[in-house]
Amino acid sequence: MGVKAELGATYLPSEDIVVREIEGELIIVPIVSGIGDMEDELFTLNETGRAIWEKLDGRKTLGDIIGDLSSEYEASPGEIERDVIGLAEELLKRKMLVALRKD
Amino acid sequence: MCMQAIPLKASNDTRCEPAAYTDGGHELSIRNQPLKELLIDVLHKGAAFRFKAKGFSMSPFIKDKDVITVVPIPSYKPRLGDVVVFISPDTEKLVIHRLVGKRDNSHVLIKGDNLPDHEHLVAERRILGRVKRVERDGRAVALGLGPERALIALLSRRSILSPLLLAMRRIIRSILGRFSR
Repeated sequence: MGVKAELGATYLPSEDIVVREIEGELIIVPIVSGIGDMEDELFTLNETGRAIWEKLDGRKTLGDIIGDLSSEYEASPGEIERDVIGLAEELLKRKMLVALRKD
Repeated sequence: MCMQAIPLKASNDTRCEPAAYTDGGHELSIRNQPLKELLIDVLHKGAAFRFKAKGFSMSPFIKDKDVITVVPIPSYKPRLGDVVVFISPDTEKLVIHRLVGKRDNSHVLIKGDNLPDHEHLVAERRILGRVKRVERDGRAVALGLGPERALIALLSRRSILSPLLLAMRRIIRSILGRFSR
């Protein structure tokens, strides 16, 4: 069963990853079982993924991010929403993103 | 073993298939400087770091393209024979060599197993981690990291290791040659 991302929720990168920009590429190394495994577990985000990732700062909801991206890109809001939800769910599934608790 | 260019495989196996938003499945080469920064970041989180090494200076114990796992050293005191990852005081690059002696409380002597030249004096604070595991063709290689590491260090420091390994290679090749005739 997949992990659901909510439009009204706020998310931020997990503490169990290392992110670094290397020669123009954003490299994400998840730390799985105490190992940052560059041989088997390495991610680079494509242009769409990176644009969304940079807004996942723990302050904006996914809905806010969709609104921001709609004003920055020519794609339709529906398309942007699919991309944002899709990436958030993928990152949540891989435990690279965590939901911010509402206290 | 200076890790100038290290091919890294982005995730492309069945456990973690590349997804729509990630550029997975391609070989990615990371130069020494960014790799150093990435390694420091991972080790500072208290995690180990597994990656493919490049170079011949630690052969035959670590060979080109072996996959090595480096562990952090929070309260670690370097021990004779440990294979350590450190920042070279000469080049500021990431290097993997063996600890072959101590100079004082804060400096150690480090040397590549396959290098005929003299050891280098390195401040302990420049040591980032210790090589805990070496994998070659998918299998763990234990030789060089166990108790025998102290003997290897002594032989290396006295510049006996390289000629000894060379002589052993010749003997083995000669024996194998006789059998293949």
